[in-house]
Amino acid sequence: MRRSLSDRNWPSWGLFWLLAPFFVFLTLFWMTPLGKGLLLSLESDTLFGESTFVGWQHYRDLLADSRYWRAVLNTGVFAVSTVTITITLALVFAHSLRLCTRRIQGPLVFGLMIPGLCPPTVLALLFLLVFHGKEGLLNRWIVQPLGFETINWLSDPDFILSAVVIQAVWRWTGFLAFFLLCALNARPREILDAAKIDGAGVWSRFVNVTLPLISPTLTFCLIYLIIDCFAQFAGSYVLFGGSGGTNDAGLLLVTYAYQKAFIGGGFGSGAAVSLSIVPWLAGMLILVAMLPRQLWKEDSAR
Amino acid sequence: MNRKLASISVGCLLAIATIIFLYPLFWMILGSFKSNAEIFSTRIFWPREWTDQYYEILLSNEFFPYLRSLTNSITVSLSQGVGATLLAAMAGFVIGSYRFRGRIGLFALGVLVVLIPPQMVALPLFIWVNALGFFDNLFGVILPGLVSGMGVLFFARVYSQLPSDLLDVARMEGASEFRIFLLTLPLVKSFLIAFGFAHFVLSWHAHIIPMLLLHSEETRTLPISLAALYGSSLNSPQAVLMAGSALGMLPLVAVFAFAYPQLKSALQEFVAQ
Repeated sequence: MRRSLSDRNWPSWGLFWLLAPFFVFLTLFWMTPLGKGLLLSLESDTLFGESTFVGWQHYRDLLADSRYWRAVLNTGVFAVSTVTITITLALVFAHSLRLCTRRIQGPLVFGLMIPGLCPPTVLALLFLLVFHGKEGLLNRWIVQPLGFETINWLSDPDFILSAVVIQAVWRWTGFLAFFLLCALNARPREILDAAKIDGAGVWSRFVNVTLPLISPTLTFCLIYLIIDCFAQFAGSYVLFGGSGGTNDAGLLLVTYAYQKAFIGGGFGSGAAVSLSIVPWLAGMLILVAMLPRQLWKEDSAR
Repeated sequence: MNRKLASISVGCLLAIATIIFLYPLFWMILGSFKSNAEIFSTRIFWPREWTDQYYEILLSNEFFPYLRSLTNSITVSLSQGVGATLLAAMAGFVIGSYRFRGRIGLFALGVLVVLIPPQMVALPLFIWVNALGFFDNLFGVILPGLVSGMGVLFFARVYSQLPSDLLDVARMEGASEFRIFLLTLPLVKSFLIAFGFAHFVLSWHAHIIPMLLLHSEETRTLPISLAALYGSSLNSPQAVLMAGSALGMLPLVAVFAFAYPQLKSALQEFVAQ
């Protein structure tokens, strides 16, 4: 159907000029820094004067660095919990929104999405007060009424990470609910009705019919969120002022790279930390991309 | 009847959830009218005495040139939103609507760009942009932000779903590739607006690269100025911060309100494909 176009004389200059601007910028501001970063990560940490080539030394150092592993662990926990909570909440919201009449659905979605507009810095400023030691909203409205001791969210190492998670969940839930709502609306009516007639219950319909149908959108949301979590900087930077919080309990990978490079003055090791994020992220994403195929293999075969 | 009842009760629950989600923002807006002492006491929700002095302090540039920061943010986000959308749409058009050798390679490259977001190359990017002479210059922030791997993948998909009849007709009329691209733009208008909006918001939120590159108060973007003000002293002027944050949300909400219908139709179409 598209053959009429595809057989044309590629490479044609017209197409080349359409592609060129993007690739010029890509080369200048993505490939070059990436290449430079790779080279930098192989050089010694001299801020002034000549730096020498040290090979994989920085990467080897990282493997033995307990703070690095702490940051990896924190980022992993942060990503997994943010993604789980956000996606679950967003699914619940999306399903509930479908039950509402159209007139109130619009304003509700609009309202739920507004936190996503909030810049992470502003968000962190706001949440400093939500998380505040004694008088913060969380303590006053949830922790104290339940009869617990007040929690100092931002300095108690057990809770620091949850502060970052809550903030990310608050920011993304509305947007993802909106995405999933559109995906839910796009499910073909006939399939749902057929499942209903076959006597499938609510849960079984959700798992066997809805999830496979919305899985492209769901996968997109997952990937987007995971990348955002791994690249998270602004929120934790403002919450902890560029540090990792008490005992590094809130240290994330990007923050660690920033610390190494700009506070520790080690550009080489900083670049090594940043680049070491890529394999972690890629591994996580491959896992996510494989997951639905494994889970729903039988269903799609049916 | 039962169904209606369920719909109403779900609606009420959702309304409560929305209020909870928006609560911190309400509180920020109210906070900008309160004194420091009142802000830290959650027992007082409504300001005891309304005062707009913090907005006056903010606009008097006592802490940092507020309007300048706001204009910087708008400049950066607007140029990135428009520029990135255009570049991504052009590349996505080629990748999505033509079959040629190397197409899969380009697609894979797009995925790779998505995988390595700018935050991860922030440090070498900082050194490189400095070497180009863009330190403390808005261009140093804008130009790297024009590259969006997500955008290329998005538009490649949008264009691969576009019926090719129109392109064929234009082709037979002897229109150039670029002209055909221009012809398709009205057809994908809602996608352009949706992506442009998303990129606008993301570049408004960007933190690490503007923080590293924009040094003087005159060039800083709003989030950086606010964060710097917060970090500047232990006794940071909370109400002024809140006033600045609240005012700074206005452009974002305005753009969102404008883009929302397009966003909705674009997404519905995109998901349905």
